[in-house]
Amino acid sequence: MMAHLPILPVVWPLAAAFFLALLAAHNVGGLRRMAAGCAAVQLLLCTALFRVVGEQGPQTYHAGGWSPPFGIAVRADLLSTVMLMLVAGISLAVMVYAADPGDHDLSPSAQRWFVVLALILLGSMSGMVLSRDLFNLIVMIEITSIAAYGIVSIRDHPAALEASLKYLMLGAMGSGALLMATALVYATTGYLDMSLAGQQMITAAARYPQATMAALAMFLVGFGLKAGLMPFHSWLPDAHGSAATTSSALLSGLVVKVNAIGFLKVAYSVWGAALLARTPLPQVLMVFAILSMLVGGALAWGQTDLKRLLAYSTVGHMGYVFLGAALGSTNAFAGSLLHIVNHAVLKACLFLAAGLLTAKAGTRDIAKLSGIGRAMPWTAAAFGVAALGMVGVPGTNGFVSKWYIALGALDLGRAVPALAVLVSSLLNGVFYLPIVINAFLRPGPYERTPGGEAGLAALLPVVILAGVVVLMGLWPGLTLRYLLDAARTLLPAL
Amino acid sequence: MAERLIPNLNYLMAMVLFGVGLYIMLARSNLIKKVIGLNIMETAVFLFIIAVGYVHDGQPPINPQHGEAIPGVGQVAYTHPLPSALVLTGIVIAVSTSAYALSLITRIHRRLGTIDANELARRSRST
Repeated sequence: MMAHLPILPVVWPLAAAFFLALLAAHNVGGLRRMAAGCAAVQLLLCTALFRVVGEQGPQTYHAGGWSPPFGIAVRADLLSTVMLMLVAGISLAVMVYAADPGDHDLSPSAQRWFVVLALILLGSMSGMVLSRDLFNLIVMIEITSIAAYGIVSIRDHPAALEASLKYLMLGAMGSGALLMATALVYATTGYLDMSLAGQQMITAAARYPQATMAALAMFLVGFGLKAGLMPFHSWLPDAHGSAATTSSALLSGLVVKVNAIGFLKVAYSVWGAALLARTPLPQVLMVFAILSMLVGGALAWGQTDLKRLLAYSTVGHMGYVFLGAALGSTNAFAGSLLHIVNHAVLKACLFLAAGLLTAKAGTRDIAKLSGIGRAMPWTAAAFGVAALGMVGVPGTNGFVSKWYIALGALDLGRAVPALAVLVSSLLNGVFYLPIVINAFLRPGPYERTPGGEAGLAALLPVVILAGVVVLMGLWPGLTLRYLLDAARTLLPAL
Repeated sequence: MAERLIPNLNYLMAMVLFGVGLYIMLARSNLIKKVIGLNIMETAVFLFIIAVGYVHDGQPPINPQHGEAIPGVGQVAYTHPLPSALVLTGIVIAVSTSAYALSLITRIHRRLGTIDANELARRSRST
């Protein structure tokens, strides 16, 4: 059992998903609670794996007992186990929220599908984080993507259907690019295992400069499309804005993040930092990242729909993640990994809180939410804390990761990226703070209806996520020391 | 030029097909045609992967029956079996993506009465 621990975070949720799908005749409430239980077991498995990795170092597992280059390797190291715990933790929070019997924007039959799709997503995203084989990574990306298209379309609303189709078309183009890139890496290096292909990449890049460059460019386009990086982001506001609350929290919190992790894994373990520095990739990535941060923020500013605003803000914050990776210094890279964790917590909290607020208000129009903080003080306060985290106010976790990314830019003597972090943070302040001020200080129609908080199962995940925001802001070392170690192992040349 | 082009014609055609598929996906507004474009694009990648595994004059990589002599070990070249396995997996993924896309288009047609991307954008905004 213990020998198979590294593969269990993939097998368990997928098995649970298909088992729960067979139980479709069971009542929905029981199904939702069972799914939350499955996610809790997943979190325990990931924590156990994290402890094993902490005590015995990275664990490599060969699926079916076949070692690479014939078999598929799964590797649990510091980075992957931290990300596994993040994926499991956020999924657990979302599923506990989904288990609340209160107001839902999904019909009972759609809630069944949500439960099944969310568990499939949990397993396939864990697979993306763990896999060390390029083709296996593609398969896991495809499972994640199809489940993600589905989780948008289960909300029976014309906008959600159109968004799901748009997401599907652009996502499928991304998949095509990723598959072609994988084929090119296989053709030039002769391996699909990331470590083995990485050993051959230096000679391959010298012999086939165009083919390897095309592969790298296609990986950037493919993962960029799936992670919502700026020139490829057009599906994201529609999909994340029109999906159900719980779906949006999973998509914005996790799905775009694991694609960013996938890109970092491929770029830094197949090409490696030294080889990447000789390609135009860092410059191109930096332009895309800064574009995402500034234009994503500016577009979010113009939104009147709360969920679309949050979706555009995700585009902006994916910019931070890629900026840290493009800079390539240890501090910036650790900051970028930390921002993956922080933004997942923040955005899940914001989407879940926004779901409760808009359900109460009956509208997603930001201007009509004034005074709602008096009716729902806990929810609005959690939203406020997470909004401050997005701005990067000291004492919240968003500050720490932005600080490290800016520090990493200054380490390299580059002022423009550091300035972009600052300007983008100001932009975040300009559109997040008015919502919070509006909710608490302006009078509104909700003052006469106090005690309007949602049920405990829905409220608890929101408040706990807001607590985590402050906790990780005050004691950043909790996660940062592991991610600094992970950054050092991924960037051995520095 | 020609002597470099002819042996690499399969790779070239794969790239051309990839471009054709991508163009259809981007330029056509009929959703069914977009799905067809997607399939052309994926077929191009499969052609490319299969071409990578091709060995000139290679035998099919099939293990002989137990006890049977392996014909001419050392002289016979075998084509690479792994790309075929990859393509098989790739086809499964392509089929499931197409199936999902078509079922979604059916739902959109029932709900909004159109399979045109521009018309769909207009109708889903207005509701």
